[in-house]
Amino acid sequence: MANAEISSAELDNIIDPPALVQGKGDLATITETVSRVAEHKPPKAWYIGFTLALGILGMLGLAIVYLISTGVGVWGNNQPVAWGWPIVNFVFWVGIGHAGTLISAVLYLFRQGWRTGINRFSEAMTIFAVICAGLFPAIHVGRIWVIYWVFPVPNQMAMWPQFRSPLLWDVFAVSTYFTVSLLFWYMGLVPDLATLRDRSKTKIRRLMYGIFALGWTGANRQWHRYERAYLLLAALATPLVLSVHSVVSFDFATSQLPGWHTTIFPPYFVAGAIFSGFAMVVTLAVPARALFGLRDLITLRHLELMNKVIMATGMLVGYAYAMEFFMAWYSGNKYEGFTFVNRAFGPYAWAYWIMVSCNVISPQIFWFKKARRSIPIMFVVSIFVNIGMWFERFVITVTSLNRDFLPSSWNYFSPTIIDWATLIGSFGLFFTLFLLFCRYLPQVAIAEVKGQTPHAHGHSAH
Amino acid sequence: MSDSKKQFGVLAEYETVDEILSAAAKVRDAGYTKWDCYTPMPVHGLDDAMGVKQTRLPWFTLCAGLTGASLGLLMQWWMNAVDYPFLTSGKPQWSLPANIPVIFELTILFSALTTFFTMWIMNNLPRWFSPLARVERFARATDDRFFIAIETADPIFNAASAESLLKETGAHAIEAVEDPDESAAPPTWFRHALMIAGTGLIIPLMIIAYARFSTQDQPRIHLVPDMDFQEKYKAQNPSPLFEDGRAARPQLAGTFAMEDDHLVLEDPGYYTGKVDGEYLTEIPMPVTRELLERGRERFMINCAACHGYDGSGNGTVHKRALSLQTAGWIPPSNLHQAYIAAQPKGQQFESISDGIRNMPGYKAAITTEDRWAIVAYLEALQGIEEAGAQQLWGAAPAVEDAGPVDSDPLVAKGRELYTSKTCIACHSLDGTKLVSGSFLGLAGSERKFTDGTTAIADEAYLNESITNPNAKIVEGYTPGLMVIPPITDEEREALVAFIMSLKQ
Repeated sequence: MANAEISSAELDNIIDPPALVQGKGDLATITETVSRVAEHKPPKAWYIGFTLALGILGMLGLAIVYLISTGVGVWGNNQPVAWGWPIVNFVFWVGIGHAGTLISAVLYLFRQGWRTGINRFSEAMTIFAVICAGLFPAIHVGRIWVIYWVFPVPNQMAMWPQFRSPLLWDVFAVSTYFTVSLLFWYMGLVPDLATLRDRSKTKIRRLMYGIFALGWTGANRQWHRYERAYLLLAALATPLVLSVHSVVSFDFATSQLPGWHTTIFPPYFVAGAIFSGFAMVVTLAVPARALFGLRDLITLRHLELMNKVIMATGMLVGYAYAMEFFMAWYSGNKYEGFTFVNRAFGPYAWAYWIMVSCNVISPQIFWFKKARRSIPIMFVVSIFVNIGMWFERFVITVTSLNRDFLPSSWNYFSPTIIDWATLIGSFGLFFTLFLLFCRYLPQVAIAEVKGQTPHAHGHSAH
Repeated sequence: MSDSKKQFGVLAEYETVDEILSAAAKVRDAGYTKWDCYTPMPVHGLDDAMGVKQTRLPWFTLCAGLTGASLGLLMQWWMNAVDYPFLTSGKPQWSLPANIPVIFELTILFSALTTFFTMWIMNNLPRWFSPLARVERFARATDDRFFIAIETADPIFNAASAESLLKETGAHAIEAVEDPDESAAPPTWFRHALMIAGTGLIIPLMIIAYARFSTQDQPRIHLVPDMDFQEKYKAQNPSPLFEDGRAARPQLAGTFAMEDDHLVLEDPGYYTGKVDGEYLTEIPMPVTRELLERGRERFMINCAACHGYDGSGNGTVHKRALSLQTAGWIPPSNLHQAYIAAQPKGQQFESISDGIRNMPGYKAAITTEDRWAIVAYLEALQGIEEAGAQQLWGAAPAVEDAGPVDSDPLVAKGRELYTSKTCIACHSLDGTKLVSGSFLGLAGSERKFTDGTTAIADEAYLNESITNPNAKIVEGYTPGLMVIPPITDEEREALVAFIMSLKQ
């Protein structure tokens, strides 16, 4: 963006300003619109939502305390479905996170100006989703107090981790992903925190925002390095986000199990991750923009573009579902074939068809512009996609395991009440963090949106 | 400025991007170096207008990425192939493809952390205070206004000329900015809080380091004891779980260790082979052809591996033990020996059930009826010897050579004792050296002893060696090596005669 070679005419073509920021759209209005949310008492709905989220979070806390004090036997995981609920939830939440990085990093590299309205939002979603995701493998290990064994730190057994295990790759991929996402998000926040600091009326607000704004003054020499660092982080986060879900898919793909052992998994998982993440952004953005008066910054155009991405990635996962069946037939492997017939027509057929109808069929409505721009339709579809993508991970994990090579050990997996409490509780954690973010931090990247307005571009100087 | 207070510089305010772009170019052309533009968002073209050189930040990122990649590679190689080699599924201990994901993640992690922190360090941030923050209008620098500040630190700074230059650029407001030195640092309470927090963070690390690199006479503190300290029986210690401290619980009166044990009371002869301490002399069931067939089948499964298909004691396990020259190997008995054939049936049954010498009991592995079937088959086997074992079970496994026939009954008895008294474990008959020297050619040979004397191995010497093996030790052996089972004088006589017969 700091590239001076691009002429202003070209810039105007690229950023398409009028549709992205509606209303008056001058710099002060943008500052006011976004900062106002963090500076005033939130609407009643926020309090209701926060109380609810906090209560569900408490339930998660109780479920985890019970789990750790008793043991993982309180979950429904058992042979042959040893990988049950926790891995499903882990993959579900990691996948949600991916849209945030995609919006903030990949669209940045592609110079997609429209990302500025939603990137802060979705980056926050990424971080909270990765926190929820990281929770599941952590509590799944059983003895959580020795979780540090997954890291290469010296321990009393003088042993090192097994670096050839995809589960260990996961540790590195997910922790790197969380770290880089946090840095990226925080770096983007600094200039906006400086804005909140400079607008603050009370000493405590000035101090808190001031400390986290790191003394930012908006000096151009600082902007110069800041922009370069932002570009570098975006360039680093792009391959990272692709690697994270690829590595997550390796957990499955590197094992010799029909239904898991396929090379299509990495791209299939990445497409699914983007799909579910965009759906979650829509799920969150629709109520947030109404509640906090951000309709001028998160416009219908933003939502429509996201719906296009949802439809495209939905068809990608649909293609992957079809290709899996094709490969099962084309390979001539009867075990592979059985797994897929069992997947669609076996005891979990209900889950399979929920997945197909939510993920493949429901986004097809976005072929119609009217549907793409209809708030109720997109909200419902986004919820469907969230459900469908959760079931996708359920189907992959459970249907591949529940009928393994030994028919005598076939079993039907059923979650326990603790499984349910943990899954629902993780939504409590997610929404608690998200609502706190909505309340105290700028939900829209103020400085970046300003960069997309006509006011930000000089005319006489070029 | 001749004020008593120090001046930081001159600040000018602009309202639009166009204004600041043209103003920046003018200030740059005037030759100032210590100045900057302050904008609410990055402004395109301002770098050129100010003459800001491209930052060297990407080079730091590149170096960090290369460092992360090399460290990731080295770490995995050292940890998994050198310091703690992992052997899984026969895969190579070091194979690069499996290590690529972690190398990749570490490359990204190092690059991102370096980019982030280097950027703030190069920008001289975080800073507690900026003199510009004291200027009220400057608060809008993060909102909707654009500013230029020329600092007094600039070598060509002159308050009057700087102000007039900024006025020429069309600034909407110009003011001098003071430099209140005392506010440049964070307040004392903040620094103290930071110091306390920093020290607090170090304390646990110090405790861990101290615990790791020092020795204590107290057991380590286990925050979560896991199975280390659970109540359990440990070797050579009383069990904490029972009052009497015994880990192996005695059998309760009136109970049976195994399901069928109570039957012993009902029919002790059938189940133990004994009634009132006397062995049964007959098999307590009708001996039918079916029973014999069953016995043969069970014998082939359970007994033949050691005792041989023909019961001669020359089974596969025995032959293997001999070929490996296993020290202390006690050979399986030749079941055709007269003393075994003469045993009451109950005693044979007991040997099979509870084991004898180094043979384990087969009570758990073979049912009672099948054990009697084996005893029945044994009689058939013993009786058939003269007819030739082959007739009994067909031609499938080759019959072992029964060995040389001894004309002298004393030598023949000695040959039998050679096996039953376990001499065979250490002394061969074919000249090969097992644990000790072969019996072949021993008689009449010259023995050299550790004390330097020599002797011819005659009958007297052999008798002495069997009675008191440690009296004379042959060169190359250690005292106490030879252990003799209880043996009568007649048996010794027979053994000596047997060994003498192997004279060469």
